[in-house]
Amino acid sequence: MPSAPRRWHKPLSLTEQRLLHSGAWWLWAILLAAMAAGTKNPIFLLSIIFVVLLVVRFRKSDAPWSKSIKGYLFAAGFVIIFRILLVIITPDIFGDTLLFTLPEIDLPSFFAGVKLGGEIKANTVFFAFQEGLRLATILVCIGGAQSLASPTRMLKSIPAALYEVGLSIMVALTFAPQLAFDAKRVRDAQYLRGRKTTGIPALARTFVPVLEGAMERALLLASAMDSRGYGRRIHQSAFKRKLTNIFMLGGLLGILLGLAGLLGVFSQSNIGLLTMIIGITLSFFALRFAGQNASRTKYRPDQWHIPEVLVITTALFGLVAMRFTENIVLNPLASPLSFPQINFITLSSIWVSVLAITFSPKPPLTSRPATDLFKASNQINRQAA
Amino acid sequence: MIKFENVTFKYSDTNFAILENVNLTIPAGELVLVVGKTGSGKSTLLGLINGLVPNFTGGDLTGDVSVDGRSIREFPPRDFADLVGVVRQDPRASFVTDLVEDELAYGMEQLGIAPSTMRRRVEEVLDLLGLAELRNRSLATLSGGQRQRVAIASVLTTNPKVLVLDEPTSALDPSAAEEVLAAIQRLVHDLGLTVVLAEHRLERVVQYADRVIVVDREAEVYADRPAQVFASSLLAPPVVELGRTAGWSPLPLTVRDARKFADELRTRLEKSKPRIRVNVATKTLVSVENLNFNYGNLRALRHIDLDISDGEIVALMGRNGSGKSTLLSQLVGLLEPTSGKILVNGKNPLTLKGKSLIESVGLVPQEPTDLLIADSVINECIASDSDSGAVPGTTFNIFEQLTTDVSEDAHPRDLSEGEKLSLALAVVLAAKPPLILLDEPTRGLDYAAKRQLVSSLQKLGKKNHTIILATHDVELAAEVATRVILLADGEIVTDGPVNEVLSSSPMFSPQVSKVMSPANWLTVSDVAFALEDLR
Repeated sequence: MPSAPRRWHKPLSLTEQRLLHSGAWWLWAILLAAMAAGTKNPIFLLSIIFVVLLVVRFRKSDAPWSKSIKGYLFAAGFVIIFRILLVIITPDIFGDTLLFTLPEIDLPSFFAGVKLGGEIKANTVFFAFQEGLRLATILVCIGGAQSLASPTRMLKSIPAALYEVGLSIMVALTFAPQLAFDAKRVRDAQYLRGRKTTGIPALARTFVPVLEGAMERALLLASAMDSRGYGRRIHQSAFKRKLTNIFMLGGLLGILLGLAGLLGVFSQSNIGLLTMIIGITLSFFALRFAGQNASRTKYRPDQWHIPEVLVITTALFGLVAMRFTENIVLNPLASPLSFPQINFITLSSIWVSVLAITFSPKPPLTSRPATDLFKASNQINRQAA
Repeated sequence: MIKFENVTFKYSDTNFAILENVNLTIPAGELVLVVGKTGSGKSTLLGLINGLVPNFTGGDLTGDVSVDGRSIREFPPRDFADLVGVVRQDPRASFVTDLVEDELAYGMEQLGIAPSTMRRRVEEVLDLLGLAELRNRSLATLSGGQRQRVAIASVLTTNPKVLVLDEPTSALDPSAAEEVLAAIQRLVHDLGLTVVLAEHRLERVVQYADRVIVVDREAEVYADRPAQVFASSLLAPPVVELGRTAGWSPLPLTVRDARKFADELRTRLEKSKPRIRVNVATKTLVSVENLNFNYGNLRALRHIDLDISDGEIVALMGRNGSGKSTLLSQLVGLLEPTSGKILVNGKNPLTLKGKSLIESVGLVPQEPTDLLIADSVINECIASDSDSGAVPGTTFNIFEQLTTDVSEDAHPRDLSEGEKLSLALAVVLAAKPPLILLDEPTRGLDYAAKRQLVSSLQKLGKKNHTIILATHDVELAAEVATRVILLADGEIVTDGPVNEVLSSSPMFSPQVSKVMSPANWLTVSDVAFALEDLR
């Protein structure tokens, strides 16, 4: 019997439409976030944000999960504003460039150390802006990864032993929008009965039916999954099952002890390293055994090909370049206030990450807007005529 | 293929057996239709086939059910996954993944089928159900008919021998229903699949059935040929009723069979005319002027112009997603028009709130239970009286007129579909709104409940209430409507008296009209009335 080909979707070219491996997008985004964590230079940080936004703009799919970037952008804006507002509550004394003076509010003596209002200095505001922007950039990187990588495809890449955990995450992901939809339906019904739809009593009245609906759907889904074969397992000997459990427990214990060791709880630090290695090895085997236990197969899992490697490589340049950049460029001083310096090599290395657009394939469409359908039917009509 | 042996089943929270001493044998390769009133145990019977009942519902089972020799007493439902495919009423509730192709593969992944086989079967099933173009689509973007076909496809990939479908077309418009039923028929003919199907809308499915199982709580469950069953059954599609009324023998089951007798009936009725439903309008109640509404980029309603007078019963019809529900939401002020003007009883519905809203317009939503908030029928009625400021007891009186024999203390959730609808309607009517809107009211209703609804609506129309129904149910529209509006892609395509619109549309014409064309008859009751006159 001829053996079936093992790779299903070998891309014919780099530009063929498909989804890039979700892991590749996540790694790319994490590398960018790591860059952001290493600098406070607003020019570098804004560059990273622009790179992420550009890549999302050109490489996100049209599925609902791709819209998450918006929420992250709002959160990022909020973080920056909030961090700057904090300055007003606890204005630091340092700095020499006075921006403006707020009326100072005297607080009772037990608030010692907290000061409301007073002299606001540009140095403090700039410092706060830098810190806020750094956190915001990291948020945008995570949002970018969520918009680029399908959560369900990501699930396919996790080890079989963790399948249940992944599945519950996925079910939760599909449940959340459904809950919002239910809440709206119940609120509409309240409105139709001529009742108030705002205020706490109305909220309480919405809560119970929504929860009830969610429970009902959970049960329906559970029975549907069961009738489609979820939870079927190949029989495994009791001995092997026990062995898996022992390995798993031992592994976890080892990792815990190892962490403690590395943090310096024990006097000899190499004990920590040793238990860590043993722990990781044991857990690895436990996962392998448990994986053999499940009789599932994967339909068209994501594949690693050249584009995946290229995309990740683009993000490495910036990280390496930052290693060799002077600290004064990476973390510009807030006092004395000065325009942040730029190192052109570092800046261009960061911008190399935007090449992910050219190296990654276009994602296929998951929905067709009504206008397209309309066009298509028009075309057919014209051909017929 | 499927064997029920002395099956008796009782849910743990009731004190009667819903199925009693059922003995059935369903041979391989047949399409079996399960009929019965709501609450008669159809869904229980279907659930027993792969053991979801009692494994997920609880309850006491005596006797045994087996499929291809595999007994539900020995194996849990998951071990039937390669043998029985189950599709629920609302496929959205049972989708596990988010893409069409992944959903098709899910069952096979669970069974551990080799990747090469999976790939091949997915392709085969995509072609079999005509889904190849939808393979990359997100499940959330599918239309009702597509969704139902994907649900069927997703259980077919494991190569089951039996397909179980619970009301596969109840939420679908006539053309989407036809598309799904054609796919099912192909499975029976080409693959020799055994299909067990429950459906209230018999007019859609009877012609495909090889055998009918009648489930009735008062009588024994039995299976027979459709012709035998419908010769006496109270539950019968309009074409059968027409045959009985006209005294045809053998009783026709399909429109095609009935047409052979139609000539004779047409000559008999040559001089008669169908009753024309006219209402004496005194004023315009609803006026809509150049209404437009967009959902994001999607234009859900375009240039709607409408005038509806008091006493009219209007059926809004059209495909799923043609804008019927959106229009109803606009009329009750749930959505704000993008542009255009709506007046209900002289007022803009957006300005109405609370009591003034329920006194001018009432909407019974698609899921009538949404409207219900209390934990018993009587508390619901009391709450409704106080909401509308009506005399205590008003709602309950209306409810009693709409339905019979319901205990005051019953929880609204435990009522049958028809009773739930009656309760919601009673709540709406308590405030005496001149305009009543119903969204898809016959979903899940059996023929008896539907007849009850028809007579209630007719009475309301006579009392000069204006009623607008958004419905897929052609037969309902033919029975009650005075006027039909067809929507397509958010635009009004046709607007006219019921006789003209329904008899001229191939998709939206009722069975009687299909049989009697070119003569213009819509319903069995019209024909019966005319025959009575002749005597």
